[in-house]
Amino acid sequence: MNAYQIGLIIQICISVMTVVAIFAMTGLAGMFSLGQAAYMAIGAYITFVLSRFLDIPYYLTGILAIILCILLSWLIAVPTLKLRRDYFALITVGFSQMIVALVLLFEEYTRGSIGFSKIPRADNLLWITLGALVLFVFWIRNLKYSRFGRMAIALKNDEIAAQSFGIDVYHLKIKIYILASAIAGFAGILMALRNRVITPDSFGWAHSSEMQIFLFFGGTNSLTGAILSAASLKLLPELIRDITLFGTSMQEYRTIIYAVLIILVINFRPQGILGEKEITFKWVGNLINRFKKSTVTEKESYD
Amino acid sequence: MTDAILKTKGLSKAFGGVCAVKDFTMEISPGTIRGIIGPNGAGKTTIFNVLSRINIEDEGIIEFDGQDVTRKSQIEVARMGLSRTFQNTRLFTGLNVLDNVKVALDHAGEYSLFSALFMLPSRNRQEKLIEEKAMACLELLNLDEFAQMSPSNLSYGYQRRVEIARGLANNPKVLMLDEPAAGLNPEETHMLMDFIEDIMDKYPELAVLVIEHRMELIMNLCGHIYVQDSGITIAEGLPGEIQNNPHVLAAYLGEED
Repeated sequence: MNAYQIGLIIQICISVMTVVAIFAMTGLAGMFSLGQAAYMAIGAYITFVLSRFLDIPYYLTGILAIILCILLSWLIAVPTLKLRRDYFALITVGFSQMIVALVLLFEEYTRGSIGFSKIPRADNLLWITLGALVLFVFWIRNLKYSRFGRMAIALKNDEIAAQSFGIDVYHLKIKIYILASAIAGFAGILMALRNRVITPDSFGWAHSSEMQIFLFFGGTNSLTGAILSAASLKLLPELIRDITLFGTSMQEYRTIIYAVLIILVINFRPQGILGEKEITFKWVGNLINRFKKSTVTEKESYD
Repeated sequence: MTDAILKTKGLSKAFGGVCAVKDFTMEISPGTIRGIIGPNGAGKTTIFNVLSRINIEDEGIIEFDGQDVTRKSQIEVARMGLSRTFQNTRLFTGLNVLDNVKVALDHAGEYSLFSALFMLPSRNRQEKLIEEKAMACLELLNLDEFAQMSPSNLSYGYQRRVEIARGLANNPKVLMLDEPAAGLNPEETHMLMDFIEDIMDKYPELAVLVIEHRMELIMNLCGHIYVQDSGITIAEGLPGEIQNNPHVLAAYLGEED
């Protein structure tokens, strides 16, 4: 595999990772956030700026960055998750813009909009990313099928009914929000290591809404749907890179393509491509069996 | 009757200027069924909402299991063992029937988020226990064959039964049924009555409070009935007494001029 392909795989893995984290938050617990890219920014900037200016290895500052993500998401969650869902979404937009503004304000350290590029080369980034992705998917899958996942789905459906079964809606939401933000922070570090340069505009609300689009495209209630749609929609712009339209690469029309896709999905399949279905081993097995059976019966009918 | 599990005294609640419940006083003991009847808009559901702390009363005392619960939250009284169903069924449509019942047990589940994420043995042991308990509740209401179905694919009568199973899952002290027979045909209503009797046999310490429109159901099940009209208790007593009470007849059938 050449460097371009490895880079692309890492990029797709990071995208899937962030969408999986958003699945836990939006898909399970119904918290619609447009600020998850801000946690990626915190992860990336804290890790590498501190590492450079304090001269500490970046895996130590990385741990610090994740801890900061956890603390900050807790701080954001405590007052805002008491609000109604729509206000929560608005505040997360404000939060992500605030982080971008802070990056620009501390230009001296972050190099502002020029971008911070003193990021060391990481060996085995592909394996680290793949390993982290597998771990996070395993976590979120287990979360969905645990008592926490059930309670989250219940509170998404009907908060009042959930509370009348003793579910502590508020604290459960905080826990899941913190988990999602910590994963986003980690994904931010990986993204910095892959791109070797970080700029504030790559962590704005546009990036966060891209993640939400990926989630809605696959189906908010399906983890496998989220994974598949994040991977395919991230790959799509690369596939059409060489096609040109009006003298520019189709890749530049990415946002328009996403917009068209999301409008199509909302119109024709509002629950997302997979809806509530999960692609499990059992489901695939059944499909193969059915296929085998149908070919066998076809043969028999010939005999 | 001093051993009442749930008692209210002088309970009042107004929405804006409209008085939904006024000076409501009742009590219920373990192992008994009591009913609240009354025409639409009589404040019956408001009483349930105040008891389960969805609405907060303007004045009055609520005593549940020996404690004053007027300062407690919806979550706290639910965890103390006050369980309810809703008039318009409020099942969690994102969960299947079995998970709907499991979710009522989940707040008390004894494994942490950490063991859930890593699927540790403690999680698996607890999940098995939760599943056994939930299945037992479904079996009691003859719903076990629908365990894996989505509640939105069930008929209204079955949805009501799932709600009752969910209400029972956590072994409550008081179960409040909000119009359990609304939208059911006579046959289903009879089945429901049988189920409620089965439940009383299985849980001898359970107190059941029923809101109902249908005289038939409430007259057969309840030992004691409160009749509400425009927020006021106009009569209370044994089913036989209620049936012949002139105030009740007036509220239900209208007064003679």
